[in-house]
Amino acid sequence: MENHSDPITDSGHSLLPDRCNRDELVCRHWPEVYRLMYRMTANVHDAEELTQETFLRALAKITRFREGSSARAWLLRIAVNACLDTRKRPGKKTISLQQAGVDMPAPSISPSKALEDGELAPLLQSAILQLPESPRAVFLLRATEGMAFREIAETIGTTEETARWHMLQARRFLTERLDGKL
Amino acid sequence: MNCQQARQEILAVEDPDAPDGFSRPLGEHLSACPHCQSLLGKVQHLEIVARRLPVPQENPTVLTSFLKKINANNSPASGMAGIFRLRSWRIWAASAAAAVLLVASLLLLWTPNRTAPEPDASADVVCDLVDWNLQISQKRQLADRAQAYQARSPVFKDAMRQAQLAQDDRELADALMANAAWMAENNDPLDEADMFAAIADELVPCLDRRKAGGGVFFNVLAQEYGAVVETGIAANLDRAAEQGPLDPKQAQKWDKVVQHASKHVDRMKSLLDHVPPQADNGIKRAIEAQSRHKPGQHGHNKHDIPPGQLKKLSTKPNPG
Repeated sequence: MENHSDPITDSGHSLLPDRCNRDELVCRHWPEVYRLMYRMTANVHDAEELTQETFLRALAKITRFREGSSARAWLLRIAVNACLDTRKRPGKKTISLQQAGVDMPAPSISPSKALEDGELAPLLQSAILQLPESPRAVFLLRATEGMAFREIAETIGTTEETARWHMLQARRFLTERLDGKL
Repeated sequence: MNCQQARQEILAVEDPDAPDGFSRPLGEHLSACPHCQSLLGKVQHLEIVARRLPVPQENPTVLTSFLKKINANNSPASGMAGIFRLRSWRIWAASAAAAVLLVASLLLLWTPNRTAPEPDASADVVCDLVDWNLQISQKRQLADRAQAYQARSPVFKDAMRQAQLAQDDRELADALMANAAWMAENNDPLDEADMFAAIADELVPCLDRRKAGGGVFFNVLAQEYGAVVETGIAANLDRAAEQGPLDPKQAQKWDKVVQHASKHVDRMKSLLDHVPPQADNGIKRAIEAQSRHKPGQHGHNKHDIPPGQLKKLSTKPNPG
């Protein structure tokens, strides 16, 4: 995991959301929040909207940020919660693969060829989208953000054991789904 | 270890690329079982591909517009509640709408008999003042508190002069300004907890006034209310307990604050029926935080002091 110095923890003016600190916080963490939101939704507009939602929520409650903790983990927690809240809203349906813009490639590609051609990526992306929200969040936070189970548990508000269990479910589903292509 | 056990462990391992983290039985099993080695290889491969999943470049306009928007709203009189989200394809429309609103606002200002102020327009002033108070309260050194106060008090005073605040919002804003001034010169967690309990009292009519309409200002105020209870009251009670045994006078004050704050826990529980899930989180956290404290249980202090008598809260300590 990358080791960032955080503008809100390292500046010596930790919790003051002045313009400088605030802009720095937003600019520094915007790409990783966007990246996670895109991987959670596979939709650019949803990812952009959720990224903005995340920073709005974060800036609105910056006084509740605990000094000494990681701004990145804090923001990703808010992002995951924003994503989960959005999915729970009435009328908000889970996006279909077509809506997500995920094209299913022809299955007759050898594993090595698939990886070389990047053909495995959309298959995996579509399989990730079929995971329930919590296993999906755990898998992405671990595999793509490099977070430890302890941090993931804190991020999604559960225990380390539960995070590990979600990971088991996610890996089992994904390896079965991509069986023969990995 | 059999294959089924090994598969469970492989699928749940934290880092499939770090065999040092595997249990000894799993390591032994893997060295002898090609099927489980194959599964481990698949899990490793899965995560490599996941890390390489392409992510479309985000539209830089979205970030730029977001920054412009939050900085345009950077005056203390305009909190995060006033910021609306912009979908990238709506940015031009939002800008146009903002321009129309600006013109309309200017026209309104020039109308001699303009209508009464929109009461919710003042909610963000109150929210910013509450946040500012909580920020000052989290500073541990008096010098930092003074700096935080001096940095923003002129701007807040100016904003309050210009804002058309509803009567109860005005009273609350005045109280928050006075509290900030007091905290810049004092650092007593029990007094601060008491003070924030008074602020929580004064937030209640503001919430009640907006409950019928619901909407974003009610939700934001509900979250502020939760933050006052969690960060302003409960965190200061924790801080008081951490400072060591309380003397009898402090213990009495502790009891008084805890009893007073318990009213707010009931209040917050009733709010949960009216607020959406994103506001629930802050309020639930505040309920949990406040529920840690009981009269007569003063952290390090084991004196058995009867709870202090509750007064109607106007208990802001005098500056100095």
